[in-house]
Amino acid sequence: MIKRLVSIIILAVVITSLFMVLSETAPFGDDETVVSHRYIYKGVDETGSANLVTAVVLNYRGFDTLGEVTVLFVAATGVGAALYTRKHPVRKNKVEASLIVKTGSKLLFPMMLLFGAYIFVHGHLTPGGGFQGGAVIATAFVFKYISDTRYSIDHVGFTKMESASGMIFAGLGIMGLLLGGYFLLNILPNGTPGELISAGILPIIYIAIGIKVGAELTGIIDRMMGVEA
Amino acid sequence: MVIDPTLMIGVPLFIAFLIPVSTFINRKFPRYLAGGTILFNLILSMLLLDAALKSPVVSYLGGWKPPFGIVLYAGPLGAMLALLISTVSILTWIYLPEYIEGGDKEKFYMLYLLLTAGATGMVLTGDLFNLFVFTEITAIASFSLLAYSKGKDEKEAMEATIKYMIIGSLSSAFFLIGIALLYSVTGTLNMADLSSRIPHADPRTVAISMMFIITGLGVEAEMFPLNGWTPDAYTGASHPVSAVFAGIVVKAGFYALARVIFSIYASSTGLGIMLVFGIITLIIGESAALRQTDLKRMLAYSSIGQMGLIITAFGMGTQLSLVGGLYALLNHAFAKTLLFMSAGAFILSLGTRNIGALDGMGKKMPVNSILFTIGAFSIMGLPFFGGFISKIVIIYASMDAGYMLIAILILSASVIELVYFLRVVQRIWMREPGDSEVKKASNASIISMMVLAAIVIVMGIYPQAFFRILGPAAGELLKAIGGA
Amino acid sequence: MMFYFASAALIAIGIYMLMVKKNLIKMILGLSVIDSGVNLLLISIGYINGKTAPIIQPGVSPSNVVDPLPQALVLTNIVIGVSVTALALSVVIRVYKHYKTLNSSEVRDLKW
Repeated sequence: MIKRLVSIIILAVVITSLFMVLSETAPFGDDETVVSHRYIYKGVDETGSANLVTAVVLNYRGFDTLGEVTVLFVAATGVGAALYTRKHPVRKNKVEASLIVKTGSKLLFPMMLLFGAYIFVHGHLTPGGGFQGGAVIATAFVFKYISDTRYSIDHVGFTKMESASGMIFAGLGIMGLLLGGYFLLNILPNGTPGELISAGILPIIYIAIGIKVGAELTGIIDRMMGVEA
Repeated sequence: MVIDPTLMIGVPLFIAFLIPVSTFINRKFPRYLAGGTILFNLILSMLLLDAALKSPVVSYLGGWKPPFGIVLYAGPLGAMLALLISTVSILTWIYLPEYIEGGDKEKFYMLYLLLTAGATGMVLTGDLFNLFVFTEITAIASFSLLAYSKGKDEKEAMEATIKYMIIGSLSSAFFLIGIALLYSVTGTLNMADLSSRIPHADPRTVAISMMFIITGLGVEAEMFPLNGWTPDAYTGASHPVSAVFAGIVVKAGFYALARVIFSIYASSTGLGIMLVFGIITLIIGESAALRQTDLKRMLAYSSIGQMGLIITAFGMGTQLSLVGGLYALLNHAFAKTLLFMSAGAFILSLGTRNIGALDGMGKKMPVNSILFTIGAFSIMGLPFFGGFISKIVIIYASMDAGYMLIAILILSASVIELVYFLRVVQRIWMREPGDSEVKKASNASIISMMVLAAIVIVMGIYPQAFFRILGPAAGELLKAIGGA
Repeated sequence: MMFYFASAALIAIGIYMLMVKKNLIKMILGLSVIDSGVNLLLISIGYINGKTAPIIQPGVSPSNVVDPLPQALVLTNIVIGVSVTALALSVVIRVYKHYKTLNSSEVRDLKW
């Protein structure tokens, strides 16, 4: 008990003092930095994306995002490897869902898919993007799993989609290198900022990411549903 | 044609995304796709090193000039480490088929390829946050490879994985806190830009962020006291994975640490920390190795000790000590990979990791025993092996810089090393063999081990070839810190 | 200002969970809490008083939006956090299969 108390006190003291220093040197709510100044004032013209976060995520720092997609891919593969079973996993929960859940999921499933797609297609215009949209799509499939005890995704189809969308992202990067000399160069015209078809390759990348993230998160859930503890 | 370093990351990622589909065509594809890509990286990194020795190769991603975009920067040092990573990776790829059991083989090869790509990204990137992303790719791929192991060691592997994951994730959170603090006072993430802005930034925040980043990266570099995961992970992992940890993951992690301290902070406090903790790591690692009865655990502690030696050499921060440290890094990468591979062959045929079971293996598995002995001699630092040159240079450098005590400590650590490795080697060659049957190692694995042994011996008898690369590489690190 | 302390508190709570809790799942939760703390820290570093989300549309001019870069970093870190959590949970499933317990002090065949 005393050990806990001591550890709490030490932690509290160390961490608050660190952040006291921080709030002195970088006051909260301070002005933007040199680098971001360019993003904020030139971002729309240079990338054609009205959403500046998307401009930074996919264009200025697009390579980070490729890495990020890879992290999720590694983790999904790792979950698959860790929970590997010889046969395809058979689901264990045998409790039937109630009528309300069943009907509700039937009603909501297509709408959730549509909403997820909306989020990632409009990633360069409104808050949201591929990762958020993909997460919504995966949620729709969780709903399916909850409402139907026999439901299982089409593994082959999901794998194909996942691979294809990943290859589109990496392939676009390599294409930029071949056509323009820079990896992940925006090779399409920017168009008018604020319109659906604008910002060059950004919407394509976000659609690919949306499909990939949706498929991967669903795959992770499928794996975890299938194990016997 | 100018070699673009991006290809060494972009192409492996593309192929890794392709692998799951390729299994629908043929089950053998993943192995050859992964191997082919690593071979492609190997060739590219040779060309890259050649180009980088003339002038650094810089690649702007998305066409944005720094500090606005991400930049890949391949100087002599980065290119050399990229070459090291692809060499170890391809040799381990040749070695590994017999040593991985069960499971989805295609997943193993995907993770293996992504690990190689992530480590290559770590040594080539010129952006701090991008370094974080690649560190995470490498770390998560290592967690997954560790979790992959099946069969007898599964129980231990799982425990090691969870331990490694918790320490690793905490450290990456610390790394990111450091990055956030640094961004708050400098407003940039590009490494070159950071180093020019840090002198004007508030020194307290900079110092705190340095502590966070050293803690974050010290875990991968096996720095004391952050190396609690190491022995378990090496023991629990399958043999090729242990070899890859020693040859790739730890080296890339250490490079990231050195790069941050030298190029970004250019701080003598950072060097002092490296020196002190390096020495402690060296002594603790070596003395723990002395007590082990488990072959792989002994090698793991020896690996900690060697990393301590390398960190110490870097901490001294002179041209000579850096060359010595880099030489030790190369030697350790090749020799320890060789040791883990040959130890793996012993363990596979004996079915136990106990050192006592190695009696008389020299008569039963002569080739493998010779290879193990070469690796052990090189780590010990006997003449005509790579380790000898590195230790001589480091000891000379430390006397040159006036660190008499450190020279003595390194020498005494070498004596400890000599004792525990000779104990194993003596068992292999001097004892009478038991009458149990042994399984011979496959030809492919013997070939890859022979290549490693040849590299280690060349490093010992013809060091000039390596100094030609290491000189500029050490100079690159020192340039930022303004040393001689 | 409040946000700095909140993120500090979240990080501290997470580290405390890692140090004191024995249940592996609670330790993983602790990691997630630390992650949220770091994300909050990044976001608050990028915040500028009185400005709005960095999406340029009619009525929002570049002079009154916040710093978009930290938000991009947070987006990356969230995904990394999710990946680590998913992998850690699946490893815990495997650990449970072998040890039939989630208590980290009982999961000790190897020495710490």
